Amino acid sequence: MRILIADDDRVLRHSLRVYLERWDYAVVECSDGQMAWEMLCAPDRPPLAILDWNMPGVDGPTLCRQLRGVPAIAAMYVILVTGNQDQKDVVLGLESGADDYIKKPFDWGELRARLRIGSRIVSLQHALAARVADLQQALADVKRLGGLLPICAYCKRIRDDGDYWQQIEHFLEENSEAHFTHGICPECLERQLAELAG
Amino acid sequence: VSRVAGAWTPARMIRRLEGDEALARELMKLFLQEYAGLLQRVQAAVDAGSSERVRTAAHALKGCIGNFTDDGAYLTASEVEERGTAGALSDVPALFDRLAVEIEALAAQMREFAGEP
Repeated sequence: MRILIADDDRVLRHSLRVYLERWDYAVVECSDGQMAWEMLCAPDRPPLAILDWNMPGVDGPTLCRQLRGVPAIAAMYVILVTGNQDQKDVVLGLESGADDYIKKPFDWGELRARLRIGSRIVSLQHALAARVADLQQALADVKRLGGLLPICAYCKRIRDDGDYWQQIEHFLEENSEAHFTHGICPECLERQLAELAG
Repeated sequence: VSRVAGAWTPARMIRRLEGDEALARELMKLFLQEYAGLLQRVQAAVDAGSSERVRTAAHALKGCIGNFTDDGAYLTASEVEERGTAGALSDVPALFDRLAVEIEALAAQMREFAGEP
């Protein structure tokens, strides 16, 4: 899974990259908030991001608020990182729209566990989005019959929207996914044979 | 335990990196390339008397040191950052001097470990 690291600390970015690649993440990185925003908005954006709170350009909480306001990228999973040790910063960070929050310096085991949670949520979101798209397509493919249909009481033909009286099987084939195969029922067979016999 | 704790030593750092000495050396090398510029930013902010610049520059330096230790230079950088946040810069020049000494001592330890002059 691809992941963005946005942090102005070169040392931290390097250690993060080494660990994340060791854990099989594909890493992209940048050193300021403006670059991070551009990468978050790009078509090939990663689904997971580790954003530093304090960065030149745009800070982490502002980035979180911005991305939650854009529907196309609002579902991105964001872990906010900071050296701020105050508990109220944790609340502020999460209220800005971050999914998770981790304090520097990292405990690598804790970071790995939190990333697993993020990856699992991203995978579930993707599976859900694919299922929704499938259902929307299926719904679009289904032709639905409904409402009042004017039908001739004698010949059973149906009047369509163009005021044309259609054979019932033609009407149903045009307005549903049904197809007809023609056969003869026993009663009709008996009647037809009787008529042929004279 | 992989958290930074206490004064910096190469052994502690390598242990924190799960025995990866090569990575420890890479990180030290990066630190030695970075710290002087970060320290200079703090100095410039102090000279300009700008609390906000002191806060951001000290925060960046603190973060960089924090990759190695949460003691000594890290604590002093935190103090400088706090002064910037509070807009109280009166004792910051003295704190800066202490910070410069502590960070040079840290860098010297790293150079010694790396076998650099």
